Parts: sequence; structure tokens; C-alpha cells
Amino acid sequence: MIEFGQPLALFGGLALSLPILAHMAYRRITEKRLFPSLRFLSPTTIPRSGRKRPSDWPLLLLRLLLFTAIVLILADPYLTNSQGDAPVSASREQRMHLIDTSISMSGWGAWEEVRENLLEQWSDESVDHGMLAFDTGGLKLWNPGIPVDELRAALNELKPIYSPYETGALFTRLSKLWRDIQVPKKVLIYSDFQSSDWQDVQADVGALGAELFLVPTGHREQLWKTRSGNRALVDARAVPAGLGKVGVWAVVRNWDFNATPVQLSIFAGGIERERVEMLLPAQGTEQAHFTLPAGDFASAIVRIDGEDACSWDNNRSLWVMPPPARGFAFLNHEQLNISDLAEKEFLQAVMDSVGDGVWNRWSERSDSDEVECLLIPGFSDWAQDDGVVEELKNHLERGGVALLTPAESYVGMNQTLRESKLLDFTFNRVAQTEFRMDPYRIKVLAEENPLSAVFSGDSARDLYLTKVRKFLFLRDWEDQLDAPLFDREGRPLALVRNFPNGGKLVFLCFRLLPEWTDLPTRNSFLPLLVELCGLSGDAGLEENDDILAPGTLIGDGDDAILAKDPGLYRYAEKRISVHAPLSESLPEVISKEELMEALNGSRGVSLSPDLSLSGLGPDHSRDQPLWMWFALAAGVLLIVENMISAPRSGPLLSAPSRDA
Amino acid sequence: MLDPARLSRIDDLSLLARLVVRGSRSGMHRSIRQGRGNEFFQYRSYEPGEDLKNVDWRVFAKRDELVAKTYQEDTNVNLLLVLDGSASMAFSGTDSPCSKFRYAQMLAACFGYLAQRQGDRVGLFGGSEDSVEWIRPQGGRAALNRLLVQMGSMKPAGRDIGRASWERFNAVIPHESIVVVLSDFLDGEEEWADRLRFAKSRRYECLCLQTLDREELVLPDSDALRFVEMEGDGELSASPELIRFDYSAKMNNYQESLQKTIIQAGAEFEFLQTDLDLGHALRSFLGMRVHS
Repeated sequence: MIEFGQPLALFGGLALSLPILAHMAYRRITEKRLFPSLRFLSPTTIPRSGRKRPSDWPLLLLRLLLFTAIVLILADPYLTNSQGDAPVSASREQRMHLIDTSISMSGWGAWEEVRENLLEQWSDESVDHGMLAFDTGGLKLWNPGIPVDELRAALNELKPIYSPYETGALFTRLSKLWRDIQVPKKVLIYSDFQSSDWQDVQADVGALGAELFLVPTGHREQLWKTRSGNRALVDARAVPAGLGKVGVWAVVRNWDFNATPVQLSIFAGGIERERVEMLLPAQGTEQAHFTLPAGDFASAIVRIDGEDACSWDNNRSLWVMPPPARGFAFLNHEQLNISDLAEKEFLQAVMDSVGDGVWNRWSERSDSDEVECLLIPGFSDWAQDDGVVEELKNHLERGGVALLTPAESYVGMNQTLRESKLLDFTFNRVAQTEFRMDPYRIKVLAEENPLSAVFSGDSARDLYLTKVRKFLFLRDWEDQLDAPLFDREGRPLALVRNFPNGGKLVFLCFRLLPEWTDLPTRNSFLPLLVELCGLSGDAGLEENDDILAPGTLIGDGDDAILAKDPGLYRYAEKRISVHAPLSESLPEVISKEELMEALNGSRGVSLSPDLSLSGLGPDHSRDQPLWMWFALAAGVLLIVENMISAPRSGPLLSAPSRDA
Repeated sequence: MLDPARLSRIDDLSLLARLVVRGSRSGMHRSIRQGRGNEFFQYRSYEPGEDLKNVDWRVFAKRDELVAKTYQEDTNVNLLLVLDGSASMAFSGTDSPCSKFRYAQMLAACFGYLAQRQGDRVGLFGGSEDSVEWIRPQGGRAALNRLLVQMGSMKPAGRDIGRASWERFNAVIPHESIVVVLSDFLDGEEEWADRLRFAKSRRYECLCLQTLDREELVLPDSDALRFVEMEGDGELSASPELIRFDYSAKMNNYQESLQKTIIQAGAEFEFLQTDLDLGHALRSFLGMRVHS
């Protein structure tokens, strides 16, 4: 249906008499006439008035149409979507207030505006008010018709939360609530309409027969535009900074349109330890560096001094002491033979040597849940009997790493691995060099082999000089297995299977014993095992910590902790950092038109924070504007009018000749 | 029958002329002069006492009957049709049956046909400044047909015939000629006084037929027009309603002055209007022809 944004402009249609009068008053010379002689003619001025009736009806009609088109343009016509005009009963109107409780609402004064607007809305007792919002416990619904006092009490309890939530869930719940209710309905969304929260939302409010109202809050004077005035600590990390020192670097982002001077300070042990000043470039980032004594403090807080538009992102906590050692464990037969013991010692030496001993270190653990690396020397069918296979599978599924070396009962080893579906290959025989002059050598690493980045130059030569006197000759291994090492005849010396959740199973085709290979005595031993098993770790502390989003449940059962706010948590021996998503600091606001379209708010209204519902007319952003069509029609009519009314410059007209 | 609107649809001027003359001239024409001449006219019974030279002996031999041949007598009268072919003659009013040129063309054809039937020789002088047509007067039907074809191919364009051409025309007009001038005579009376100098001589008779369109007399019925001169570059804007009275008065004065000038030059003057039938003009012409 066509409606008009400025219906008063239609009164301009009364002026349709103007073109009629103009048409009658204005006399044009539109015709040239050939004439035999001008000697008896006297030039006269063409009178501009005195026409008693219009003589050029098509031209008058054209001018009337032109004038009508102009009047309609001024009246701002638009085509409304009739979908939102579903028949409703005469029952009381239901008005649902959808409240954005994302943490960004705590900035730019948005939450205060939400409260003011809600209290003002609830003063209208002619409608049934309801409320829908997320809090730390999840989505909460206050049904329409609930006493306003209860709503006020709920509002007092409600506040912006750090936990991220799905904005679309608000509309899913609303849809369930209103699906079969035929009453006048209005939806009011109170939000800062931050882009990150709303850019993916899709809903069909129009299908519910509800009118949609957007109540922007926290926009201040920059309504529906990108806001400014926020500075945020977007990252902070601790790194080893030499003997007895911990370095902390922090990244600060300025979302202001002007360069801004700021002061950053670091607090440890409750005392400000260092302060730096910097000039943040407009819409840019800057880094700050601090140094703290190592071992004195477990954590620190980096803080932006002063106030800005959004203050929740001005602090960032971080761990500054070395992280707990990473765990490894041996799984072996209850009755270790000499070979097993010797091999275990070699592997123990490897694990003791991995890392730097301070920031990145390994220690043997007994609790399997804390173990990242499992070492199983002399793997064979005993593993099946002792339940080691199940433990190994669980470990791998948790993302752990395991290293296996074969026992002398090769068939049992092969059968156990195949039956447990850990490794599938065909064991052919054991290649030995007792009767040969030369041992087996490791084949030169291919360029695309990840190990080639580690072994180059002297280290590569050392690796290639490694003697392998005995190894299992495998063939027909399954495709999902990687073979990073080969002998010079192309037979695999190691197999690696990567599991989907990060688990890694490394199978060596030889034992780490002198009668099998001299690898444990070479410089290549440690780096080769570290690279094969992926034991190397970043020196940064947080690499060994868990970083979670707010609202995450840490642990299981009764010991579980809900990390609802940003900060540092410790669960068992794990250190956990909880940071709110950076996107909540962004000042970008989604456009009103885009949001209306995403929500199908066919009859949407955008409210300023200080305006009431009754004070605004309909917002046409969702309707289809028609003014451009009328403008096009007016343009065409104007051109035609000009063509018709302009003095003709073409061939001269003569009266029609009736000559044969 | 003589409605110019109907007649103007006939392309063939020879046919048109026969239709007009036969439809209007029964009983009005005097008999053809029969006597000695070059062109056979008819047989008739021999009258005793008549010159035996007229007896057709071949017929007598075949039918044993004396018949005498009669010949159309040469009259030694020349009819010179002067047809104005300037651009202004192309004018045709909104409701006019035909242009002035076409009207004059039809009249000239009728005059030529009448003259030829009476044994006169017919010639043509006309056209415009850029294209002057001159056909010396000749007798006989074939000559007339050639003249009519030539006249039918003329188109009004350009300015009036120049002074030099008129001078040459004055010099070559045969004696005993009737000159019929068909024009709108809008060039000015002084010009025509000079052009018609020959009319003062007794050897010539001259009939000037001013052919005008009704709109030239009363102006077109329009609120405002931009008038563009047909034989020049002049243009002017005027409201016909406002100037109609003044224009008519000026036109009347000019016509009176023109008539006076032409009569003083020794010629006769008749005014024709293209929406009138051709009979009026024919009668004027025949009146002159009877006198001659």
C-alpha cells in the first residue's frame, strides 16, 4: 500500500490550478508559417494573457501530470509491506523490551540510558510489558503482563555481562512467545547496536505481526554512527627477559579519531611497579614494555590510567611467574627387562633435557590427566593385557603425545597395534646388519619434510651419520600414517599418526638401544625426538596456560568454577586466563537500515534515547521508497513538455497542400 | 464541375482542360472559322457554285457523291500564357483546395485548350528567376499537348522572373497576341507597369488574372504565428487577430492600386481566389477572345 511520509504536502495538489492558469495565460509561438509576402504584415507583441480557454489540451494534461508528480515527490511516497499488518484482536497491546546486556553496554553511558528508557516506558500502564535479556544464568524471559514492580526489581539485578551470547536467541525466544498470539505487539530493542553483536543476527519480526522499535543507547550525540573515545588493552603477555627478570608487553588500541596521550602502569603485589607514558595515534595501536623481577609475583595487572568512554577494557591481568612443568609419564611392562630399563633411561634423559628448565620444563607425573607425553618403551602384546592400550587411546584422544618403541616380540606388537586400530602396517621382518659391513643410514630428508628445517648443515650430517643396525622392516602401512624417516633404501624408520584433536602417536621402528642404533649417543638424538613428538614449546608463559572466554565452566563436577568475569583463575595446577572478547571494545555501530532489514522490521521505528514512542512517526527505512519513480516520471514529463512546447526549429510548416 | 478542389486532383492538364471547357462552354463559343487553312476540319455536301477546288474527288470516285472538304482557318492569333512560377505561388491556405500555382496552372491549361480549338497558336512564358520557360506560340493539338506537359512539370520555387527576362519577352512577343498573365502580382505595382509595357500597343491584348489565396486576404485563423517569407529570409511574429483589420486594409489598397496601374498599362485586370470555381476566369477570358 502506498503511504506518504509527508502527507501535508498533498495539499500542494490544490495548486494544480496554477499550471492551468499558466497554460491559459502563457501564449507561445509554437508554429512557423510560410507566407507569400510580409509587406502588408506588421509585427506585434504576443499577448501573454487573454486566453479564455485552454486550446492545447495534451500540453495542459502533460503539465498537470508533471505538477502532480512533483507534489507526490514532496509527499515522500513509499510502499509499505503489508506483511506487518496482520489482523489483530482488540486485546491489550503487548510490548516486549529486548535488552542487550553485552559488556559493551557498560560503556558510553549506555546502561544508564537503558534504565531511564525502560522506566519511562513502563510508566505506560495501558499495555502489557515484558522483558527479555541475557544474564549470567542464560536467557531470561519476563512474560508480558508481569507487574511492573517485578520488572523494576529485575532491572535492578540486571547488568551487562562479560559472557558472550547469541543475540539471535532473543528473537528465537520471542518468536516462540508470540507465534500464536494475535494482539497488537511491539518490540523495543535497547542496545548500543555494536556491529560485532548484531552483524550476524537474522530474524523475522515482521512475520510476528509486531512493530519493531530500535532504541539506540550509548550513542551520545553520534546517533547511529561509529563512536569514539575508547582506549583498550587488547593484549598483554609475559616473556622471560633474562636472568631473574620477566618482561611484560602490552598492546593498547586507540579508537579515538584524535591522537591521545595515555599513561600505562603495571601493578604487581598490589603496588604500582612501573608506569610509562605514550601517545596513542588516532585509530592506531601502541606497545608498552615493563620489566618485573622473576619469581616475586604470580600475576600482574596492566592498567590504562584515567577514564574513557568504556572503562571495562582498561585493565588486563596476566600470569608473570613461570608456568607449572609439563607432565610426562612412562607406561611399561610390570617386569622390565634390561633392554627396557636402558631405553627408559635414554628417554628419561631426553625429557629432562627438553625445554629451558624454567619457563618450559617437563616433569614426570603419576596422574595420567596431567600428562602430556606418554613414553612406552618395548611396546608389545603386554600392553593389551595391562590396560595400557586403553589408557594410550584415551591419552591420544585428549590430545596427548605418545612415543612407542617395539619389543622383541614383534608379532605380538604388530597384532596389538592393528587390533587396537592404533597403527596399521604389515610387519615383514627385522632388518639386521650383523653380517654386513655397513650399517643402515638415514636417507637424506626431503625438502618438504618438516625435519629438514631442523636438521641442516652439521646437524644434518650428524643425523645422516647415525648408524641403524637393526630395525623393523615394515611395508603396506596405511595412508593416514606419515613416515618422516627412511633408510637409504626407502624403508620407514618411524611412523607418525596424527589424531583429529591434536593427539600424536610416534612409532619408532627401532629401539633406542646401542645394539639397534647409536642414535642415543649422538647430538641428533634430542632434537630428533623433540621434533618427532612435538615437545618444543613457546617460551611465552600463556602458551602453557588456558585462555578462556568469560562464562566458561572450568573443570567438572562439584569442583567446577564458572569464570564469569575476566581475570586469572587456577584450577588444580592449571592456570587459566579469562579475557573478554576484543570485539566488545569496538565502537562500530551497525547501520539502522541494515539492522532493520536483517530483522525484517517492516514497520520499524528508530527512537532517539530521549524520545518517546508517541513522539515519532513511522520510520520508512524498511519500506520501499517510491519518490525516485515519481522523480523519474517528472523528469520524463518535463522533457516531453519541453519538446512539445519549445518553438520548433525543424522544417517550416506550411498549410497542407492538396495539390495532386 | 469547375470546383478547383476536384479539378486539382487531375494530373493530366490536357484532360483537365477538355473536361472544363466541354462542361462550361457549350453554346458560348462561336463557330470555328472554316475556310482555307492547313488543317482539315470536316466534310460537307458540295454546294453548287462553290469552288471546285474544295471537292474531294476520291470520295466522288468511290461514292459518286460530291463532298467538299473544309479546313480550319488559321487565325493568326497567338495566345501567350504567362505563368508566375515563383515560390510565393506555392502558398496554400489551411482550408484552400489547392495552391495558387496549381490554380493558375489549371486555368492556363483551359485557356490553351480553348485557344487551340479556335485555331489560335498557344505559347508559354513563365517560371521563376532561376528557371524561365519560354515556348513560342504554335498551332495544332500536338503542340498544345507538348506545352501542357511542359507546363505540368513546372514547380513553383525561387524569386520572380527577372527584369532581363521580361525585357526579352517584351521583345519577342508575336504580333496579334493575346497575353494572359497568371500571377499573385505581389511584387509591386511599379514592377508590373514596367513588365506590361507591350500592352499599350494595339497589336496586343493583355489579361492579368491576380490569383490569391483566401488566407492572403484575411490572414490565417491563429492566435500567434511566426510568419516566414516564402521568397526571402524575412520573418516576423504577429498575432493575426490583432493585425487582421490593418492587413486587409493594406491589401485592398494594394489591389486597387495594382488594378489601376494595370489598366493604365493597357491591360485588363481580374481578381481570382483559389477557392472559387474556374468559370469566372474562363468567362473573362472568353469575353476577351470574342472581342479579338
